[in-house]
Amino acid sequence: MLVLLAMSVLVFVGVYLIGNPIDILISSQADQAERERAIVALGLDKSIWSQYGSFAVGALTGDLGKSFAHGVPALELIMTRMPATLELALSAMVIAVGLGIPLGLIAGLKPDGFIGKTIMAASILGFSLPTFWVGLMLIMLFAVFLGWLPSNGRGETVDLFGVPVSFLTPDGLLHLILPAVNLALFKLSLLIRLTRAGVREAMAMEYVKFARAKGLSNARIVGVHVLKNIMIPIVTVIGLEFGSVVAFAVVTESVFAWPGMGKLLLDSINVLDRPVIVAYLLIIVSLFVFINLLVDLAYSALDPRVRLADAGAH
Amino acid sequence: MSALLEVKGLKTYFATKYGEVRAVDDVSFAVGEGEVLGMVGESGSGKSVTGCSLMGLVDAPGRIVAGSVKLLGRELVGLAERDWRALRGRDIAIIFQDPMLTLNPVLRIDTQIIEAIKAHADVSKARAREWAAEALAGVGIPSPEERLTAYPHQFSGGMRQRVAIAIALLHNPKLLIADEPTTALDVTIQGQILAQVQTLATKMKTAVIWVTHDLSVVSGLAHRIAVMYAGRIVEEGRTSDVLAHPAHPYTRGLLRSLPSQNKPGETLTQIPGAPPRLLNERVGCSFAARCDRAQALCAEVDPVKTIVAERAFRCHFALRPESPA
Ligand SMILES: Nc1ncnc2c1ncn2[C@@H]1O[C@H](COP(=O)(O)OP(=O)(O)OP(=O)(O)O)[C@@H](O)[C@H]1O
Ligand SMILES: [Mg+2]
Repeated sequence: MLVLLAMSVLVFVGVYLIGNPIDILISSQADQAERERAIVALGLDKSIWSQYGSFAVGALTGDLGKSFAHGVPALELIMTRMPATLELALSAMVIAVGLGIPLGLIAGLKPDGFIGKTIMAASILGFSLPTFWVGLMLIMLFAVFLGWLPSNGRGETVDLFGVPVSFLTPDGLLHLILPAVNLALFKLSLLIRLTRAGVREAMAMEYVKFARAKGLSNARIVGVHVLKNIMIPIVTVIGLEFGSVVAFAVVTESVFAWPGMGKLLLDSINVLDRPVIVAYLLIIVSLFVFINLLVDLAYSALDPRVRLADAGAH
Repeated sequence: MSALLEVKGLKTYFATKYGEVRAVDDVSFAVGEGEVLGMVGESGSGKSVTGCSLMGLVDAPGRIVAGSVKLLGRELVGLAERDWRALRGRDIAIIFQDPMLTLNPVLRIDTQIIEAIKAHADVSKARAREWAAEALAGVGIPSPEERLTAYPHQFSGGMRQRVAIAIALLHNPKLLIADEPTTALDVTIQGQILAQVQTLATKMKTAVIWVTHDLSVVSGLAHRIAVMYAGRIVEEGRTSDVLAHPAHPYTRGLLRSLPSQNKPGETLTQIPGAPPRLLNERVGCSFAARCDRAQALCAEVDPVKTIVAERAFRCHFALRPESPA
């Protein structure tokens, strides 16, 4: 809660300093009276502190203010865009985890082999190439040059529990591929490296030697003894990175015109739609806090030593 | 005693960036059925590498470059990985020095025992569980059924080593390699573990290679003693003979540095110097530089293995049995 409070003050003041939304929102032809009326209507005539006060009071009741540009509650605006972003972020995470852990395992088990070295070289590329550039290259290659995949928007969507999703329609799935791959690339590289380092470390441990001395198969040693140990750091990182994937979706969404909340943020910044910006950042921060909580829970489920310490404390 | 294990001319080298480390260099010995062989030597003399070589557990950059290891007449050097797997934990088992590191911290004890059972026995889940509890009871762990669901960190060091021993002895192996299993434990626990292994091994007629750097540990335990120095066995013989009349000056040095072998008031003598690095080609006896009996010959000619009665040693100027130790 404290984090949220501190964050809201910072964001509020920060956005206040960026510029005056009136200059953008109101056409230059408007006369002084109209201008004055708009300022009062948006509450921009008050001091920053009284603006923050009324914002904070509203925020406590779940009201984050109305969008200057759209005239609808900022929260509602973001919520309608959120499913698209979450879908994109989840797909990217699925790709990153689904490929990253197996590739990292291979690279960790055969660090000096050709395949292991190739995987590592590729992961360095994934790390160092900027996301927007890779996104443009993906569009160039798969959309423009080869014409295999669409590069724009969500495609056809279908409602799942009242939420529109793309991945359940063939058209939507095709639209999802490029942006999801683009967003996944960095995390994929990260997971490959993390898994590889974990595997190499675990394989050198004495419990692996003892497991081999028991006559266990390699599959059992890697799949149970090693994997279970490296899952602890990996789950932590996956959790923490999910927040940053949502945040980084801003770039990918704008490259692929994906109608998520990141795209909304960019549009709102352009018109200095303060309530939307503030609401967006607060939501992201809440998301991070929430994810941290989940990671802590997962952590104690995975590591028996943490579990026992907790049980002792209560 | 017929030979259960026969090791001949075993050489295990490690390729490092400084050159080839000859960790085990021409080691030969035999262990009979149900026999306990004490293997002693300073840190770095190659005891653990010898033990791992017998289990096919030498990891790159190390490899067995020469020699033969025969278990009941069957050659193990060069065995395919799947044949090794069938053998490990069933015919040969090992326990390691540090029980804190031997068990996997994130797996429950029952998981770690039952997987070892299932690796070599086709039994039902219920039977495997029963077996696991029996194994824990067999090494003196109280309320074994309950303890099965615990994690390693919930056990003390001594208890963990008992779990490791229970796992090693699950399939009644012909040979148990105990690689300093008591070094990391405090003295009273050491004694208990020692007694435990001795009792179980005798009961199951399991032969034991007990590795240690402490002669006093093996003196009451081993039938025979092999003394390792710089990757070689420099002396081997019946425990009582070796302790009473060491043939190799190095063995005598080890004995003199033991508090228990000393008369009260007499100062303990240490072997001067440090063991040689194992990198270079051997010229002469590797102990020559630290030996008070060394002569010109020792620095030039590598002593060959000499066998007198039941005693084997590598020394040009061995102490004769009747000379005072
Ligand atoms: N992976 C490795 N790479 C290079 N050299 C190694 C490796 N493992 C062992 N050695 C070398 O092998 C030699 C023997 O090591 P070993 O572990 O067998 O000694 P030890 O007699 O068991 O000693 P300790 O009493 O300390 O356990 C050492 O000098 C070490 O330098
Ligand atoms: Mg050792």
